[in-house]
Amino acid sequence: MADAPQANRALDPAILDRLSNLGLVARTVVEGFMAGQHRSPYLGSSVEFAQHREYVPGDELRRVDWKVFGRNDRLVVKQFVEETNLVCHLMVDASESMGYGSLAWTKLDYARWCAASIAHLVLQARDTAGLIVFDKTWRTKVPPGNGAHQLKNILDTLAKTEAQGPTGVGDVIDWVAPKLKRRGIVCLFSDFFDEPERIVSGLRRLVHAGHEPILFQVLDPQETRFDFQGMLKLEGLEGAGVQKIDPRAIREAYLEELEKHNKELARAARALSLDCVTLSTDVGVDAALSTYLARRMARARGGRR
Amino acid sequence: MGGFVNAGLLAGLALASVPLIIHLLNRQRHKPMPWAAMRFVQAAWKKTRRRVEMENLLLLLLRMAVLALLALAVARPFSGSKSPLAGLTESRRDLVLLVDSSASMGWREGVETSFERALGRARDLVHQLEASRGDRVRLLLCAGDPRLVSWTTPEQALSVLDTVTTPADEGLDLARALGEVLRFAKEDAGGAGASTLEVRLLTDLQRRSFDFEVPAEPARAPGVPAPAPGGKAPLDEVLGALADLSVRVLVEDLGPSATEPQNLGIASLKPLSPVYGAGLPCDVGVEVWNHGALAKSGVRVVLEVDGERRPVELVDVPARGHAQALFQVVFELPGEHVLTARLEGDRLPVDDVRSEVLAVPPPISVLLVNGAPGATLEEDSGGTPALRTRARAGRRHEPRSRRSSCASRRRTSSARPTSRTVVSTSCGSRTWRTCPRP
Repeated sequence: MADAPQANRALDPAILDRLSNLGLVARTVVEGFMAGQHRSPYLGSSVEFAQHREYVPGDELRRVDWKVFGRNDRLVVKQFVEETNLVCHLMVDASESMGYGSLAWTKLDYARWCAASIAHLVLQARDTAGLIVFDKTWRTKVPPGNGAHQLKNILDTLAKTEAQGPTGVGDVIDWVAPKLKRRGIVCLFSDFFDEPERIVSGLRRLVHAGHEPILFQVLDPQETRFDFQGMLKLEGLEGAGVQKIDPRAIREAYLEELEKHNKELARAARALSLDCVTLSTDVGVDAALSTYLARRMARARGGRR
Repeated sequence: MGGFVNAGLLAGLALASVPLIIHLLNRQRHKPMPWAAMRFVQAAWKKTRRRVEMENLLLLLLRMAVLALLALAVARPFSGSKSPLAGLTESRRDLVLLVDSSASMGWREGVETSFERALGRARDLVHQLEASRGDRVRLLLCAGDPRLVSWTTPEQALSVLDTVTTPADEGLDLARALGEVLRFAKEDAGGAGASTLEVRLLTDLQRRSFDFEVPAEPARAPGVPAPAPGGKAPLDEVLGALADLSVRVLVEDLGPSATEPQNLGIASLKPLSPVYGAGLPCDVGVEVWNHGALAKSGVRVVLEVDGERRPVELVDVPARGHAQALFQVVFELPGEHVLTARLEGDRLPVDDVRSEVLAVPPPISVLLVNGAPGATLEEDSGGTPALRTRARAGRRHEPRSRRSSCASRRRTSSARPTSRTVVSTSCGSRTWRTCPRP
C-alpha cells in the first residue's frame, strides 16, 4: 500500500480524487424518493418508454395511447421507466477480529477507509447512504440520508468506531434485513470469520427483501500468507483461546482451511448473484475500490456481468 | 567381538543430546501474538497435530542419530572375527610382524641385505592394512631380546620402519620373540575387540634360530612356563601354546638364495711373537674361518695398526676350515696400539672385522751382573744377550682385546715395570750406564 491514509482519518482526499470519476451504480432496481440515475421499480412519468398495458378502468385517460387506439381500436396505456436515487447501506464489522493488522493499520482501519470512500461517492451522486457498525449485534447506526451533513455523520461515526466484541455477521445481517425499509445496496465490510451457513442465511434474507448485498472481505496479508518464522503463541482475538504452534508445520493446513472458507463464501455469493470482493490491506484503497467499481460500471452499461 | 579404535572419542555421543536440548528450549520459546483467524489455525492444528508431532519426533531422532553416528564414526568402530557383524562387514586385521634383526640378516645379496629385504616386505604388508577399518599392526624387531617398536596404527609402523636401518649384532632368540606373540594373543583374547592374530615372521631361516634342543640354561620368554627337566624346548612350548590359541605363525624366507651361503669371518687376532716391545718386530696372526661348504682362495686380509693400513695378505681358506694370515708389525713406540683385521669381499660384514688393543711395554733396562766374568771381553759379551732376552721374557704382557664394533680402546690395567734395573758389565772397556726410569 503505497500511500495509505492515516488510521485516524476516514477519508483521504487523494483517494477520493482518484475515485471521483467512478460511482456506485445500482445493478438492480432501487427505491428512492428523488429522480436519479438508478432504475426504480415503479413505472411512472418519465422520458424512457417502458411498455404498453391494457387499459383498465381507473387509469388516467391522459396515459392512454390514442395512436394505438386509432390504428387498432384498442385502449392501451403507455408506461415509462421511472428513475430514482439509490439507497446505500454501509455495514462495517467492528468486532475484535477486525482489530488485527500486521501492517501499520488494522483491518478495521481499512474497512473504515473503504466505507467512507463509498459513502462519499454515493452522497456525491445525490444518492442516499446510511451506516451500521456492528459486531455481534448492531452497535451504531446512522440512518440513510443525503447531503454533506450525512457524510459528516458517517465519517464521525466511523472515526469513533473501535474494534471490540465477538463477531456475528450472519446474525446481524439476519437481524438487519427486515429493518431496511427501502431496497438498495448493502455494502458489507467484514473479514467474514463466521460460519458461512449463517452468513449465507442472512444474505438470502437480504436478497429476498430486494436488496443487493456486496461482500467486501477485508483480510490482512499475513492472514492469507501465514509465513511466520519461529514458534508462536497465538492469542485468539474474540476470546478464541491460545494456541502454541509451529507456523511452518501448520501453514499448509491453515491455508487450506482459509481457502475452503473463502471458496464456500464465494460460491454462496455467486449462487445469490452477489459480488464478493476480497480486499487485502496491503493494496491501496483507491486501487482496490476503483478496480471493482470500474468493473461494476462496465457491467451496468451492458457489459459482461 | 568388536570395539573402537579411538574409544575416548565416544564421549562425543553426548552431542546427541544437543538436538533434544534445542528442541526443549524451542518449546519454551513461543512468541506471543494476537491473531484473528483463530478458527482456521485451530482447525489446521487439529488436522496436523499428530502428523506434526510424529514428524518432529522423527526429525529429532534423526538429528540425534546423525550426531551419534558422527561420534561413532570418529571413534572408528570395528568388528572382530567373533562379532555377529563379522559376516556383514570386513573385519579388521590384527597383524604381528616379527622382523628378524639378527646379525645374519646383514647378508648382502645383490644390492640389498636380507634385513633390507625384510623391511621392504614389512612395508608391503603394512601398506595392505587400512587404518580406517581399524587395522592394527604390532612390529617387533627380534634378535636376542625382542623389541616392540610399534603397536598401534599402520602409519606408526611405517614411520618406525623408516628409522630402522641395520640389524643387531646378536643371534635370533625365536622362543622369546614368539613368547611376546603369545602374550599379545592372551591379552587380546580377554579384550572386547578380539580378532584373530595374523603373525608373520620375516627371517633368513638360520638353523640356530629353529633349534628345538633344550638349552643348558633356557632363556624363557615372559609368560612361557619353564620346561620341566627333560621336557620340551622353550620354542616348542611357545609354539604349542600359540597353537592352543589358534594362532598361526607364517614364516617368510628372506635370506640368501643359497642354502649354505659362503661366509668368511675373522675368528681371532693376536700377536704370535712370545716377546714384543717397542722397536722389536712382532708377528701378528689373523685367523680366518670359512663357514661355507666351498674352499675360498685368495681371501684378502687387511691389517690396520693404529689406523694405518698394512699391505694386504692373501690366504686360502678350506671349506668349513680356517687359515691364518701373518703380518709382521714393528711398534715404534711403547703404549697401547689398536690392531684391526678386516676381510674384503665378504657378503656378511658383521664378522669380517676384528680389533684388538695391544699394550706394548717400554724398554726395560736390566743390570746384568756377571758373577763369573770371563777372561776376555768376548767371553763376557757372549752371555749378555741371553740374559737380556730372559729378563724381557719375564715381563711379557698378555694382550687385551675387544671386538672393534663395540670396543672402547681404553687401557684397564697396566703392567708398567716398577723396578729400576741397572745393566753393568765387568768389561773394563765399557762405562757404567744408568737407565732412567720412564
